[in-house]
Amino acid sequence: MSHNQSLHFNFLLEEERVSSSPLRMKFILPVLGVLCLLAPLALWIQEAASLSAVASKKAVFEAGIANLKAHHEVFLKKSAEVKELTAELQQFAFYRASKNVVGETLAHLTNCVSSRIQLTKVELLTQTSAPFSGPQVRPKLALDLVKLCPTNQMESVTLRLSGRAVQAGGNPVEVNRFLQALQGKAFASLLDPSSKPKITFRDEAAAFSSRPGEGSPQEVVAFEIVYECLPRRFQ
Amino acid sequence: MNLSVESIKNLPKPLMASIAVTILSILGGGAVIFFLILPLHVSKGAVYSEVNELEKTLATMKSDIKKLDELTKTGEQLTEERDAWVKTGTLKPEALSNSMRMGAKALMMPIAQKVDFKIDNVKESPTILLRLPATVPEELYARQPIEFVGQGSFEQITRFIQETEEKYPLTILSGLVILSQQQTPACHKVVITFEWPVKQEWLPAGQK
Repeated sequence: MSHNQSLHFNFLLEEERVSSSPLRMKFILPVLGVLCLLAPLALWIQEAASLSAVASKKAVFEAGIANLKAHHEVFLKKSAEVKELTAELQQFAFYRASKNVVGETLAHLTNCVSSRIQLTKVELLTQTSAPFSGPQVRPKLALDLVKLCPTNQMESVTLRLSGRAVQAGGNPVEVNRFLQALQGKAFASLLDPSSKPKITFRDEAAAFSSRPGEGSPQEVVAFEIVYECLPRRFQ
Repeated sequence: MNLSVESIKNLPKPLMASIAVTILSILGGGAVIFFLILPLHVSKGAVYSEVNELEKTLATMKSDIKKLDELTKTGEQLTEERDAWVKTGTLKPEALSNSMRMGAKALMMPIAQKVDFKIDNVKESPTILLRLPATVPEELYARQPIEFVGQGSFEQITRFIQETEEKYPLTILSGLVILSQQQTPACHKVVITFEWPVKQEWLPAGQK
């Protein structure tokens, strides 16, 4: 062992040792701790201020709504009125749409009937679905009300023409002419062009001979023509 | 670094105090977050959504109110139109008898007289409700079929129908039966069914 070598003794106790850092732990820790408390407090204050701002905004809106409430109620009332009127008018529109003007068309019928044809019965019938009958209490539920109303938006209309015609040799010339006349423009607003007429013939008991020199004997046939007319459309 | 209990106990007192302060502060901070900030945040969110709703409501109200004049005009036009249809097109019961049949007869007699059509009898059939629109209205209308039994020539009958269709736009011919008569070839027996829209009358609640 050399004499030049110096000896170092450490007389500090373990707890007396301090860090070489200029910031001591005993100061840093409380500062950090206080920051941990102050930061949330600051955040809380900010949140509270922001809530208060939002609450005051809410109060402004509420006041605005309260101011406009009376005016808006008028609007809502008018709006409900307009809805009601529109629905009422729509019912009229559905009904009006179902109108097929027939008077003028029927008047043309006389022009088609020759002196050798006699119409005995003219029938124009609408196949009406009638779920409602008799007075009753208005159902509270719209669904129950719907059950009382017709579900089909169309009603078929039939024209039945019964009559007698004079024909010769079993050839229904007059009836055919009558049918041809019914195909004319005058009846386009009444008869459904897509449907073909159903014709039935029945020999009448009364058959008579033609005058001398007029060819084959003449007979009277009863006929019935059924036409499908343009339907009534409730739409 | 040894973190035994003994070593902690051996820490200097000032350091122990500062550690205690730190721990307490952290706990306090946590408590502030948990008990103050979080509930405040939740209620702020709720108030925010309320404010958004109110803002939307207010904007809607303002825009609705702007439309009020236009809506009032539309309402007046629709009322006028509805009233016109009701006045000219619907069938009302006769005031004295409160009968639709008589109301219809009163409407049709002048036309029948004009065209020399003879009305013998008038019958009322049950009403049929009209098709419902998408929005079910308070006021419902129904079809009221009225049957007119009468006599006349084919020309008188068709003129009676024509005049009625022209004069009353909402009167619709829904049925017609013309029967020729052996005794009077020029005069036929006829059953004409016309329909009118009528206000649907309901029984008061509780009645059957």
